Amino acid sequence: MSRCQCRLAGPPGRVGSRVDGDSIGSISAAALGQLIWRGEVSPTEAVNAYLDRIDRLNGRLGAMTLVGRSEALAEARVREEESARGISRGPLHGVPVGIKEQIDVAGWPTTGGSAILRDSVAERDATVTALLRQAGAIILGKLNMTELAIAETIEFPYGTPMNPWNPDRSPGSSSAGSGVATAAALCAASLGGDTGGSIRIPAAYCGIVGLRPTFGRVSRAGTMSACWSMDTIGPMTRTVKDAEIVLGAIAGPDPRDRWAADVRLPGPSFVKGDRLKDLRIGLVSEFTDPGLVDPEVISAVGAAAGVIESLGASVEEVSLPMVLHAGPIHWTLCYVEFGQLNRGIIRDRADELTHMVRIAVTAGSLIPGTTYYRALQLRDMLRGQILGAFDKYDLLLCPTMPSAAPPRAPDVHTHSTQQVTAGLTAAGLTAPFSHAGVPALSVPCGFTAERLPIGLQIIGRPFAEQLVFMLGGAYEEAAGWGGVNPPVF
Amino acid sequence: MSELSKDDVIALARVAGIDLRDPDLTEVAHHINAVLAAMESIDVPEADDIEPMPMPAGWPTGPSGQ
Repeated sequence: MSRCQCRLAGPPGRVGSRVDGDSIGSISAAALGQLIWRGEVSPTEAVNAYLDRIDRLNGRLGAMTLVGRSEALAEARVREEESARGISRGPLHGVPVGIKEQIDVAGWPTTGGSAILRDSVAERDATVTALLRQAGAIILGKLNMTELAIAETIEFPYGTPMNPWNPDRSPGSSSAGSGVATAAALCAASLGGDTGGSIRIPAAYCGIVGLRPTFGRVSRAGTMSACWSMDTIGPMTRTVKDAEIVLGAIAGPDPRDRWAADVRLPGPSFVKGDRLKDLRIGLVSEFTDPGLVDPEVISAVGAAAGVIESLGASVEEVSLPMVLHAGPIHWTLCYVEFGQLNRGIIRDRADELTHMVRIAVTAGSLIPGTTYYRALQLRDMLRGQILGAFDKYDLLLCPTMPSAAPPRAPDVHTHSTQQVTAGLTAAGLTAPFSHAGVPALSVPCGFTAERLPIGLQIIGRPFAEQLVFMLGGAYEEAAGWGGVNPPVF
Repeated sequence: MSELSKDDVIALARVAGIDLRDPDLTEVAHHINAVLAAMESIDVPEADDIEPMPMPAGWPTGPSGQ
């Protein structure tokens, strides 16, 4: 295991230092942007270094489904010409990033992880892709995901993404490739999509940072929807600062998405710990219950709360009873919306879907309207309880998942109603905050005895990403978990 | 608990224009019944009178959504 030093290998201050496939893995996106800005690394060198890592590692990690080798190198040359003319597009200028398969990149297929969409070539960039390019980022390739962004599955038409901490464990879903590629440094940063937890779950399991932004903070135009009332697009990175930089590039209103709001995103939040002194933080007591959450996770989150208190914030337990019902509420709404979004596929091409997705989309098409309406009522209560907590607290805290990465699912078939019922608790710790529409950040907060990463979730008021980043960054710096690399290095 | 039989599920599928047969039929029935059971187990009578809205009143949207 090696720690991210966020600087180049070799003599300090050496002019003309070069990165390679080994050293690039220990450089954050922000640090790489600085090196490029200072002319110590060129965008072409950065792209080639990541391509070297991809060539060596992606075959066994299954993270990238498409590598845009020539396109990325061409884009790098343009960034270099701009740099030569004294133009910098910002902190992502020349920084190579990966894009989840559900997000359009002009000229490349948007497969959504499904064989059915293998030839579905995007005519134009999604808004987030276009904004990343405007910010100077280089699109390196597309990232694997669970089919159509639903459910945990072991069937991946484009190769199985492997958790870089332990290949026998799940990398999380649905943004599995984004989690794996970012953790293994096949790109400097990536975009994922989060409906009920699809950014935060792979972030927690793969030991990286992942932000689900406020609903409406980031445009969804040109992205494949899983459940329209909850879908968000957000950054997956190796540091909190990187996540803030990427969010800064992709946030904002968009005529192509009526929910993309014109709410100002304040600038970089990185401040010293004394700014935490006035913060009141609620630790969600339902999610530190040993009946629900693994003792190692409870211990790690408790230790994180202690670190945060040592930085000056006050932390106390808060009870939000409705969060315990989030699983069934989430899956009811998600299955129904998913079924409706994909009704054409289930009628005409169901046999081409992987097994679990075919079952989920069919079931979602048949759930009675009365049950859907009841879920909407319960969601309203759940949301009200979470938003109400912010009358007293600035931020909420809880584990991202009840355990570290579990073993991969052994069987794609469900043999009983009871078996499915157990699965309805999946996303139970992340989904409540999806339904509230609030920003939620997963940051690494330690390891289990088996050296599997554990995720801490920091939740803020709507559009209060800056405060979420402030606490996440201060905690990351104080605890020292950021940038710990997986054994695949 | 009101559990749907396979015949009930076939009828629902017919209405939705879906040709559903075993072995998928059994698993789909498990899924639907699990969702129904989980939802029925949530005993929160205060929710009965809620008018569910997509987002809370006043939630910001973009120019075309206002």
